[in-house]
Amino acid sequence: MTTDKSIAIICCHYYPHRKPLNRFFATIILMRKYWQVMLMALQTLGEYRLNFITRTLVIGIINLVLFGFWYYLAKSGIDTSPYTVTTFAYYYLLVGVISVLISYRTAEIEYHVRKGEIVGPLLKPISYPGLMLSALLAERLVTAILAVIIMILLVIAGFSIRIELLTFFFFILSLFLAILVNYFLYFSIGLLSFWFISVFSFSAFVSTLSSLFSGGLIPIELLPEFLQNWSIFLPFRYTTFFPIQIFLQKVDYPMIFGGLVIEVFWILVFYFVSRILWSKGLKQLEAVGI
Amino acid sequence: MKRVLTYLKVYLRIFAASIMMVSTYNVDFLFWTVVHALELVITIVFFNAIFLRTPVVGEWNIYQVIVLVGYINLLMGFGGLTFFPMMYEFKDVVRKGELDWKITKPIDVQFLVSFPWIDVWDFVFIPQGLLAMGYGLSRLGGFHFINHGLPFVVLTACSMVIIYSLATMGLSLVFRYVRLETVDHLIWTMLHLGKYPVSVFKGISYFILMFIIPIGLIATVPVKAIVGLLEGKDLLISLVFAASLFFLSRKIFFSNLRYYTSASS
Repeated sequence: MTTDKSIAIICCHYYPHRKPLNRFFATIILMRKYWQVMLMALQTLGEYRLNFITRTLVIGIINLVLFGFWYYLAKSGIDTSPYTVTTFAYYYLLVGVISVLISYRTAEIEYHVRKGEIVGPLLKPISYPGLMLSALLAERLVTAILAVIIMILLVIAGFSIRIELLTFFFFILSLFLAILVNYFLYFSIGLLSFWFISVFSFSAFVSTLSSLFSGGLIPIELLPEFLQNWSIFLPFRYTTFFPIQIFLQKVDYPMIFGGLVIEVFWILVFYFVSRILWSKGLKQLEAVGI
Repeated sequence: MKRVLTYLKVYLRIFAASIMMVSTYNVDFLFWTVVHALELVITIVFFNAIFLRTPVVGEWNIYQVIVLVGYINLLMGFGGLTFFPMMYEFKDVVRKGELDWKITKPIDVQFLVSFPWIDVWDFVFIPQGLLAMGYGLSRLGGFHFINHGLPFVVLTACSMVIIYSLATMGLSLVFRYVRLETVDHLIWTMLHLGKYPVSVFKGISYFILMFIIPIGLIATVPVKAIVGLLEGKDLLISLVFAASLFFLSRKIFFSNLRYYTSASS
């Protein structure tokens, strides 16, 4: 048993009259290792900074071209309502930022399972899903800081947009939930590696669907009506389009609450799916020569 | 001629080995076919949403854009059957010091590096691309092989050379920055962006998309040839650009190769 875990158990066991407080401190102690994982992830990010920069740059270029495309269409008099040049600019800026924030690659999980490296974390007193989530959140923190800097630069350059504090809070909350939706979705796909040699094609399939139904390629309002209706029943809409709608103030508070509830629903669905896959997958796992 | 035959023989051996490898993962292959078909459909849905609002986008109608989308698929297929695997593998070859095996072979090292294996999975892009192009061209009509087909073949070769040269130049950085892993991502992104006709853009953005991130030369210009919109200068620019970039990339590759430290050093 690790020292952290021992301290946590002792806290709760020997001081029962201070149970709630002790539970809190015990949780803090147990969380310490996840902080370490986050710090390690940040160090790795620093080491691989060129990859991070180019990946961010690529997403920037994609969305710049997409914006440029709509910009020239709008300028040439083509009806792009309900979007104007300014809202398109913010739309694709946010698509770029959100796609970096919510992106998750299943390749790492696949690699861990295929090479048997998953055994390492399994032998440690740390949860593998927690480990992956901590690393993800640390990386996304850097992206979020970068996004804030870009936003400040835009405001300085005169591209300001009026947004209420409460709306901004809901935007951040929806974004955080979107990260979790995508994480649990792709984590579940990654766990299919226990059964399949490669899950890259599954992941690509979901990403392709997501590109259309998340609003990443084109605002959902501009899609044909039947596709707009389909998007309501899929999780992708709530990962990108919904937070942007909040930011652009195209939805009122009841709709925001409804959307947040749906995000939580999808998180729970994929969380339980990942739990089932994890427990079943571990029974499948065979690692030789570790 | 004998040298060309030798290189062709080496390529065919690599191709045969890759076919054997892909047959092990045939379920994955089928799944990829579905994924790529879905990608194609989604792109067409995207453009359909635009063309519902206007009949013409930057002088391009929907059928010309469908030909462009199909052409990008064709390029992706050709890339997979030729040098794309280099983009996935090269960084590991350098990092693990496995380039030693290739340097010591009596064959051009850049050739060996360029065709490590063939991504047979990407073959599915070709029939899908041809299907989309065939549909677009049949709706447009007026296709003439000598006037449209021949310049198109030449420009497609130029496109492949441009993509290959850009990939090589990017990958040459791996000799200095061993942990660079995003070159394939850059190339795939560029190809995906090629689905948007560059003629829509104006001014500085047109120039950037033509020569800096040359999706115009890679995609728009060859498709202009096959749909009968090509101007003589476009052909010349593409030829000169492709040839210059190829020589530059070869120079960069060999000058960076000097930074390679083998596994034992």
